[in-house]
Amino acid sequence: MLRKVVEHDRAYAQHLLDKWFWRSWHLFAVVTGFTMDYFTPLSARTRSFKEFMEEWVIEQYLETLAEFGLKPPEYWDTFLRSLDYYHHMVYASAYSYRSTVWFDFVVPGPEDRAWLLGKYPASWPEIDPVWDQVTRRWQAADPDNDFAVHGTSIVTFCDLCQLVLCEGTPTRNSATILECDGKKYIFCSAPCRAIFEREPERYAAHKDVVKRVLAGEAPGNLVAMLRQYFGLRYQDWGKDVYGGRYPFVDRSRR
Amino acid sequence: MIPLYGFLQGDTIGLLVLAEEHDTMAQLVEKLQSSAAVRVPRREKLHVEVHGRRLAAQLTVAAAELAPLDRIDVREGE
Repeated sequence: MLRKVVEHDRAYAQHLLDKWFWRSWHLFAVVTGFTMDYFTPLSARTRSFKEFMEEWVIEQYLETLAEFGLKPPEYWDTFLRSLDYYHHMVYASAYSYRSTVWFDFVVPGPEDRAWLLGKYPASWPEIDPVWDQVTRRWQAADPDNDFAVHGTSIVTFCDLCQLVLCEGTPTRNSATILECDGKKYIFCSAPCRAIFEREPERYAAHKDVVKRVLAGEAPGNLVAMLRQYFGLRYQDWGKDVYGGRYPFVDRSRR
Repeated sequence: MIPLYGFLQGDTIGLLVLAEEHDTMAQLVEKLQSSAAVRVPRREKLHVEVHGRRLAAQLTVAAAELAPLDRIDVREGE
């Protein structure tokens, strides 16, 4: 099918691949990045998510592009940087808003964090302090008091990919704002903005959670949003899988 | 109320900051630090930047001409 599209309209084929590679990347990073680097027990990990991407996705994708006479997308360098940061930033953020999803999360312990530093030496030093803070918060909280180690403010979402604004680095988030026809849109990254700008009519009408709250269409209070808007119940929503009972959380000196 | 997109240096996500016209930049720093406290420890010597321009701590939201859904960055440095 791709061959036919390339024969008919090479520029459109390039656009489609560029768009869907980036959008697929974000979803894949969240699903597979979480699983490989956080949810798989350390003893069972054979490689990092980044190593998997480099070996099984990037090489194959570039070969396929070359086979069809297509170019890597203009955002390729952004994507390569994102490999080091994106799923770690989303995971840390999602851990601190775990009640908004339907699965449990785990705090990476000292051995996990040492492994992650070895696999992500360029980015992990910027991510690691977040887990120091989460650990300190659990030390100050009683076990199972999930909301003592949980965000309560409204998080923000990209008007293109509809995922949280977690692109860039902890030092400099790459979110970017666009004013279009008197409205403001925010994007997590330059590629998401570029995709929107190419077809604004396709995406402009969608309201993210923030805009629904501001329009009075969704509650601004987190618990009300979980119960009334997301339809989640306490027994269903995500929690810390150990209730904060970790061997590295020392509550003896409180 | 003026909703702003807030990004705290060291944090992993952008947060909505609900500002008042009379809030100072120092108060915006406090609001964003408080919202991000589960992930980022409290620090002194932070300031607000808008479009890379550093705003004075006592400047108000109204005086800074911040509009709804503008981006503010809270960054380290006196």
